[in-house]
Amino acid sequence: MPSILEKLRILGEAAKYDLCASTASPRAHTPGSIGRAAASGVCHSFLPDGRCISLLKVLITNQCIHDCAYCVNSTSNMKGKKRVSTSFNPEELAQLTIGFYLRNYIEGLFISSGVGKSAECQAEIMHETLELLRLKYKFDGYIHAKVLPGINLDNLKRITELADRVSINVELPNKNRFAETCSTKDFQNDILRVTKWLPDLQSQGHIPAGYTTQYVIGAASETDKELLESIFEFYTTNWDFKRQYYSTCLPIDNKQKSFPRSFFQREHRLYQIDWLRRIYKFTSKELMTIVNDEGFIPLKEDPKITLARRNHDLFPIDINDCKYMDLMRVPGIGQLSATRIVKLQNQGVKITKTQQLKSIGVVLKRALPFLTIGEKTQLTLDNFTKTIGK
Amino acid sequence: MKKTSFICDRSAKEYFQAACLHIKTTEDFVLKANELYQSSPHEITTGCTILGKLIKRRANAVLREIHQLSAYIRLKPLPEMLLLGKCHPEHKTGHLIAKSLAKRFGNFIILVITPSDNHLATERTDISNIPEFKEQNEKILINQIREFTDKTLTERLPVEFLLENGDFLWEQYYETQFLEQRLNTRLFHRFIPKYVMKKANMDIEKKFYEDVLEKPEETRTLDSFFKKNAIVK
Repeated sequence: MPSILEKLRILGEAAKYDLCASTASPRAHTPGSIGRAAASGVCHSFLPDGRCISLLKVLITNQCIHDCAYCVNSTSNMKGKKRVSTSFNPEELAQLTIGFYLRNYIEGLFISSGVGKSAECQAEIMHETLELLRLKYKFDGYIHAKVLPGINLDNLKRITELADRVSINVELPNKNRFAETCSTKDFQNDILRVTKWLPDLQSQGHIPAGYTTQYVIGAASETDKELLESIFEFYTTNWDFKRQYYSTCLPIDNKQKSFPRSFFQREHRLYQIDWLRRIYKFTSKELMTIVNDEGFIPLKEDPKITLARRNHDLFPIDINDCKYMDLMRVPGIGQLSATRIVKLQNQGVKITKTQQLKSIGVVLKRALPFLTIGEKTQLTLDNFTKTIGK
Repeated sequence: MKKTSFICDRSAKEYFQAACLHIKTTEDFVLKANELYQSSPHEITTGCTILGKLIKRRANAVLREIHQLSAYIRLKPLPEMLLLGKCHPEHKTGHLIAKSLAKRFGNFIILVITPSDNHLATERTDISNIPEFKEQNEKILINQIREFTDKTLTERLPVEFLLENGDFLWEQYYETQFLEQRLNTRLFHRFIPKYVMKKANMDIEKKFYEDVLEKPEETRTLDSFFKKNAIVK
């Protein structure tokens, strides 16, 4: 029987490919409980790969009946290999979570699982763990639970009552691509059917921090166009996902030391487009125009600059007389700097120098060709193309 | 002009109070800053004068330290509902770090030990006044606080949450989460600069980072770097 240390190593390692970021939850604090899920979460550590560790991210078990090609725990990847299968019991996991939480190592728990015997069986164990944490030990920190494919509504409901956030991995953009990587799961029945219950559960007051999903990029021969169609659909009110994550499919056994950074560029561009849709409120239709004839996003150029260039008739805009949404379309101006500029406009402060823009947080190199400050256009688009656009 | 000098996200009062805790702040500076705060607070929020800019810069340094250390400080749970942490803040922020942690761990008494002082904080309503503990010796100090909690609290932390080898377990877990293919030391240092690692005693992160970096030996010196990246004319 593996010790708790061995279990932690095995099940931590198996869960490291899952993504989670935000730890913010609007759930009310229960007085007398352990911890608090703050309105704005905080990261307690970072790894040399630049990713944060804010949650204890583990699987309940690494045993799985599915054969997903991209997953380290799948039957196809475990075949003929010496890998130890193990599982946490709910009590061990609860104690570890609170133990780490009190040492200020984590902000909460991210709980996922392989599908050991069946999805229902694992969901029972997951629920038991959450119940132990929330009801017996009065743990009030953040909990993110991964919904297993094919789970029934009752089990899902019980989990969503206790977790701050849940997520279900869509993994691939459509049924055909999904079938390329996995023969034991059905996209329609196991993924979409379960996902459809989530908006209702949220409207009943469950999962206060919303629900998310994750894609594996490059696991099948999917194009960016297919991915974007699926991503944009999930952001519509029919599905209302809080956010979506993208993870480059890494070779399971080949841990090359010098991995080319360009390998992650596709993932980066997808995140940029996701932000343009979600935060910058660009429409799905105009974002789809970025995709080239082969169905891929050009990797060389920032999508926001591409769109600004194409819509050059909208620019330049006067920095002292423009709306928030106009500012958000300018490359080099983000949500924070746009808010600050509008705040200054409301206070009657005129921006007269580029240096002031810099101190607000605007990236001048990108923004200047699209702005006028005091009736002066800063840089012509032609010059901009010659200097930066290459 | 500093990047932060035109930003007005906080009130002048918050900036003034935070700037007063800066290590370089003198009594004379506090008087001048107070005068500016009373007469023209907008100069502080917009940083449009030399003094206003200085106040704002110092305040941001203090606020950044509180935020970072509250997240990165490691605590040791003791059965008497006590969480003990040690750090080396640059500014006079020990009491605010303790307060921030007390908000998160409402049921506990937080003890933050800094080289200059000990800071106790709690949000418990059944403890009205916490006496000051000036003791420098850590063992004696903890005993004194334990005596105090023995008298005031009957509640005890269950033994299973003390997690005897918690730091070792965390170290093992931390290592499992690293993805070699994504190594990005620049990003790592952006989030945890070296001086913060020192301030918050982040030994686990420091050791692992050094272990990871030790692997590509050929780029450890400038000579080897140039040899590897030689420009052929």
